Amino acid sequence: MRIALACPYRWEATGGVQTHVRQLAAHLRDRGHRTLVLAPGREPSADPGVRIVGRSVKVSFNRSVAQICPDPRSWARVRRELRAFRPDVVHVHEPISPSTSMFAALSAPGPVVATFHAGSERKLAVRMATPVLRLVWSRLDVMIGVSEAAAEFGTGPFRSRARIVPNGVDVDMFHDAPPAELPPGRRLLFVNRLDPRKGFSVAVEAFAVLGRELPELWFIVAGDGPERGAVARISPELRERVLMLGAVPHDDLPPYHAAADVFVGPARGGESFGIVLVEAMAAGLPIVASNIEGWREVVRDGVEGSLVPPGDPVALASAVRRVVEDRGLARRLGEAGRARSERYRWETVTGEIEAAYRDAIAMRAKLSA
Amino acid sequence: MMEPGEDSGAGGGRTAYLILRAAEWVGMRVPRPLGLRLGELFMRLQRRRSPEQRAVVGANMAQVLGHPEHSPLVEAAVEECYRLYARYWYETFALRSMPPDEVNRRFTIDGREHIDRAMDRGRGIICALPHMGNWDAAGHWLALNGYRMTAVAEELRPPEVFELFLRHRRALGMGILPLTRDRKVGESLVRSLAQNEVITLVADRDLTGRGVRVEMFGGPRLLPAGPAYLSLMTGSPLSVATVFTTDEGWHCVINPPLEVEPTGDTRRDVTEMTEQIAAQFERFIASAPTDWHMFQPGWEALPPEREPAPGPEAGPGAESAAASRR
Repeated sequence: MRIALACPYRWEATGGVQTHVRQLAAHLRDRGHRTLVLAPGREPSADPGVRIVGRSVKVSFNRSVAQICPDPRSWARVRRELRAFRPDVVHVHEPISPSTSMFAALSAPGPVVATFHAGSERKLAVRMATPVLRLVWSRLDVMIGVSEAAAEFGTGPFRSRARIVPNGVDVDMFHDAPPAELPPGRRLLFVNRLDPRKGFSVAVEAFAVLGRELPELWFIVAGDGPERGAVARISPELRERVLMLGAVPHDDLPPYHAAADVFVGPARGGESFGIVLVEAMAAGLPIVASNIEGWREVVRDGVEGSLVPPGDPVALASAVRRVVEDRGLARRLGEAGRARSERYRWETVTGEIEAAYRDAIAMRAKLSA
Repeated sequence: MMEPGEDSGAGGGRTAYLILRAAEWVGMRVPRPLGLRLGELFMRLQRRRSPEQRAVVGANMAQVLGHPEHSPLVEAAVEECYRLYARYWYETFALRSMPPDEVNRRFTIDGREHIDRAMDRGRGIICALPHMGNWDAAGHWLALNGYRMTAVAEELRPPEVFELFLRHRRALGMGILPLTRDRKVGESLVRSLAQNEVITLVADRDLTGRGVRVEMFGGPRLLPAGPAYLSLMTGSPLSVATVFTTDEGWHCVINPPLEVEPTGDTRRDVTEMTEQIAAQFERFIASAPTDWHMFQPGWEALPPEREPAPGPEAGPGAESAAASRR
């Protein structure tokens, strides 16, 4: 099959959507498909399978910066590239941003599959843009949400047409990594950006309680962001058992998972999918995480981990304490998590996406018959 | 900034690391009077061990004070420089084990309203500082009091020394961006400003020879173009700030944001802004010359006047200037 993949965000920047598209293209190629990735960027890509179709600009939105390409010249470029490549199917990601994916959906010569990634916090914006988006939605043959939350958010009035195919995760990478050399003791691991949405300060407050009760417990933090200062506000003795690693490259994460005892996910909401949770489950770690939309689809309370109300450090602390103190429980949760992480294996996910492509092609054929 | 043992020749990297580990241990565990004495003792040895470095400090003080290098005034100032530098090293690590209340008691600040006003506007603020007093104390105080701050750190060798500093400053609640050669730092700083953070850039020294030529204390000196460039590109305010050592702690001064009407000629605007930074640095340094921890030459060894190059093509000026490389 010839598959064109469209990504709306700057290709060189790191982000969940870019990572997903890059890995999906690689897995599709492994299965013998031809792929072409279209994305905005700042410089031509060295990878012949990637076409940079326009210069991305930074758009400040919701206190974060999206790098998209709303340029009509880029639209023309997308149309040309698609004509030249002659794809059997065009797979657009996040087509509701005014960028490459939207252009690709609107000018695709054939069947279109769309994947919606984003979570739920901008529902109002989508509702307001509905008249424009209707045109985009009308071009989509198959809609995919990476979770219920993402489908709910991205597909507007077409929710019933959408199917769920989760994000793929490279689970093998998290199996049997050599543990990182860390100070001796039990270890609580946090991996994410340190911003209010991810709830880092909640975890710090929980550790302020836990660290006193469990003198051998360390808090290992992989990530950076505006909430980093939270660590300054706990007592110096406890601060010495918080190891701030800063932003850790994704490839370097597994040793920290291998060295950890419990994974903590204190996000406050607005998550569409918990890749970090799946990675921790793949590493066999018991999870203590917030009971929020998007996440409870991944981790089930009492099965792979313990779900607690978001923003409640006391509840978080007591759930962590239970898992740290009961090694039998920790092992059961970890084993269940490892089994569940297989659901998100890229090979499985790629198969489901291929099925979506076949369905889209069949639907178009029926339409034109 | 200079690290102890930086100049100890081959194999000095390992020595520097061990000295820093020892300093960290002393700072965090040894009571203040004894810890300060140990620091001073070490710095006295350091002064003896490296006459070259002592000469550099002497030359800097001679320039600032306007007295001949071997005059009694400059000699006395150099001694005081080493003493205050020792205090910096003890206290930067002592901060890690200091209860938050004590930090807030020892740290005083003038001009906090400039930061607060910038926070209300939501575009962050860039603070350009000289190497004075104890900038780690300021970073820690900011984090402690709910400000979100990021600093840029030049990459030090060997890596374990660099790691030690990263770990240390992160434990103080500061965000630290390693200054790497790629363009990531500039982008990260722009993102941090978009998220309304305080960016602190130590900006009294240019490492690349491509900074902006300014006049300080009657001589030409290069300052990094980065702070001005970052402010002009993002529209975020830029304040010149400093930290002075006081009897029992530190006093921070934050000046009102610079007011430069952009002409559209980036090179000209960057030069204009950097000249204003230099003028305010001069005042800070003049009011406490020995509290300026400047252990590298800055005035001599400047190449003959040439085009200063603050534009994006010119690349970073120094530890703070990566922003110009977007």
